Amino acid sequence: MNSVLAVIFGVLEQGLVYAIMAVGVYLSSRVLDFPDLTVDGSFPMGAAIAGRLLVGGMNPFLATFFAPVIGFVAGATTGILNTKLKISNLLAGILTMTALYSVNLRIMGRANVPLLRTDTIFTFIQNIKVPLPMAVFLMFCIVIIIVKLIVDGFLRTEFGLALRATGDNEGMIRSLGVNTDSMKIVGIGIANGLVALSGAFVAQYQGFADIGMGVGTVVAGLASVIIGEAVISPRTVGMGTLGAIIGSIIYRTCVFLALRLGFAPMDLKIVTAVLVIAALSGKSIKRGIRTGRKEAGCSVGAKIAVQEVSIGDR
Amino acid sequence: MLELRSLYKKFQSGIGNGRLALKDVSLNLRPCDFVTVIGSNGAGKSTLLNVISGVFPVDDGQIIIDGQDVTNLPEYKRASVLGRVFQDPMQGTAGSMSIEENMAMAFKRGKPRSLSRGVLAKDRGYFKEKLSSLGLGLEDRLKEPVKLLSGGQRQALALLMATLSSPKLLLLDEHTAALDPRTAQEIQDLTNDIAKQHNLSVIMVTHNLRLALAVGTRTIMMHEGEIILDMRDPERSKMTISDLLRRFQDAKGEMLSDDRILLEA
Repeated sequence: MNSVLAVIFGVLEQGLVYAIMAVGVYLSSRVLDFPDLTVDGSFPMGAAIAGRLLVGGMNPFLATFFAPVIGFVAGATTGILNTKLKISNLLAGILTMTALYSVNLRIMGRANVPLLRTDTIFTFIQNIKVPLPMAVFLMFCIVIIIVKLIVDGFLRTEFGLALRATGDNEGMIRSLGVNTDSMKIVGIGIANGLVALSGAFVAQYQGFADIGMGVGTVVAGLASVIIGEAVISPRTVGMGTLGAIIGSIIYRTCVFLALRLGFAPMDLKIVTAVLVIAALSGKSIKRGIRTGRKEAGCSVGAKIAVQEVSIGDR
Repeated sequence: MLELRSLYKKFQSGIGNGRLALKDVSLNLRPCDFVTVIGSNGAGKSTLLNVISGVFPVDDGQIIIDGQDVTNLPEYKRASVLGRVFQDPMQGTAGSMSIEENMAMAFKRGKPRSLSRGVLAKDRGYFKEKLSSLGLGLEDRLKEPVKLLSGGQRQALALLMATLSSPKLLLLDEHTAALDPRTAQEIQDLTNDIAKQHNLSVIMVTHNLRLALAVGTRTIMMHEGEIILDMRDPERSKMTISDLLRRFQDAKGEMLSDDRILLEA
C-alpha cells in the first residue's frame, strides 16, 4: 500500500515540478503567441546555476532564486534577437538555445553535477517532521500555487493586459501607445524565468544537474499546455495556467504509464512527440471533417466576389 | 492641429524605382476639421493615415501634431494624441480579452503601464456608462471576451476605444466598409456624435462618394499620391457626386477609376 502511494505521490510531484515549466511555456506559446525554443536551453540553465551554487555551499533557497533571474536574461536575449535584430522568432530561440549549451557547460564546469551529498531544498524539507513523500508533495503544491497566483495576478495588471494584447493583436495595442518590443522581451524573459526555476527544482529533486536534461522540454511543455486545453478548454488566464498545471500532471502520468507499459526511457521522447501530434491532429481532423467541404467549394476569389457584390448592393 | 508639410513616401518594389505612394502631400487641419478622403485605387489614402500614425516613416517632409514634430517618433509614442479605427473590426480590439479589459487598455492610451490592477472597480462605472451610450447592451457583458461580439458590435467598441481617452485626432480607414448597410449607418452616426462631443479633428477615408460629401466639413481627393482637390464647406455642401467626378476629370484628364467606389447609395 505504501509503495503504491509513494508511486502516486512521485508522479504527482513530477507533474507539479514540471508544471512551473508548463506555465512558462503557456506564457510564451499562448499568451504571447511566440513559439519559443529557448526553453530547451533555459531549463538546464536553471538546473546548472542552482547546482553550481549549491555545490559552492550557498543557501538552497537563495541558490534556487538565482535560477529564474538568469532564465529571465536568457529569455530576454531571445526577445531582443527577435524584436531588435529582426531575427524570426523560431530562429532567435534556436540561436539562444544553442549558445546556452556552451554557457551551461561553462556554468557547471562539466556535463553533470551530482547533488546527492549537497544540501538542497529537500534536505531542508527532510528536517521538517512530516513523512517525506507528503512533505515534498506539499512543498511542490505550495510552490505551484504561489507561481500560479503571481502569474495570474501579473496578467491582470495594466502591464499584463498589454502583454496579453501583444500576443492577441499587436497592431492594436501598439496604436494604444504600448512598445510591443519591450512587451515581448519582458514576456519571453518571464516565461524562461519560470522554466529555469522549474529546472532548478528538478535538479534538486532528481539529485543532479545534467547538460542533456533540457532536450525535449519545449515539446513536453507544449504537450502539457495542449492536454490542459483539451481537458478544461480555458477562457480566462486563470483557467489557462490551471490547464497547464493539470496538463503537466496528466502528461507525467502518461509518461509514467508508458514506462510501465514497457517503453524504455530512451523511447520517451518519441512517445511525447506522438502524444503531441495526436493531440494537435485530433483538433484539425475534427475541424477538417466539419468545414472541409465548405472550404473546398469557396476559393479566395469567390469570397472576394461575394464581398464586392455585397458592397455594390449598397 | 495637424500639419503635413510636403510628405514623400516611396515603396520599393523588387525591380525599378519603386512606386511613389505620397508625392508632396501637404495638409493643414484646424481643430474640429472633419475631413473625408476619397480617391482611386492606390491613390495613397491608407498610406496617408499610416504615415500620420507612424506605422511606417516618411522619406521626406514633416508631420506636426498639435505643435509637436512627430515625424521621427515611433507609432507607440504618437498614440496619446491620435485614435484609429480600421476597416476590419478584428483589428481594433483584442478578441481573447474581455470587453472591460479592452476598455481598460484603451483608457490607458499613451500612458506607461504599471503593475497596478488592470481593471479598476472605480473605472468600471465609467466604462459601463460609455458602453451604454452605444445602445448595444454591451454594458451588461463586461466580462465576456470580445470575440463573441458581432462585427458591428466590435467596430462600435473599437470606435469607443479609439476615442475613450480623448485623443486630438481620429483616423478612420473605411471603418464602416465591412459592415452591413444598417450597421454601417449606425456606426457612422456614432462617429459623427463622438467627433462632435469630443471636438475631434477627423480624417476619414471612404469609398462612398455620397458619404464623403454628406459627412464632415471638408473633402479631399487623392490621385497617385497627390492631393488633387481640397474643398471646404460652404463650397463643398453645394457639390453633387457628378460635380465631384467632373472635377476629377478636369484635374486629371481621365476618369476616376476605383472598382469599389460608390456612386450612389
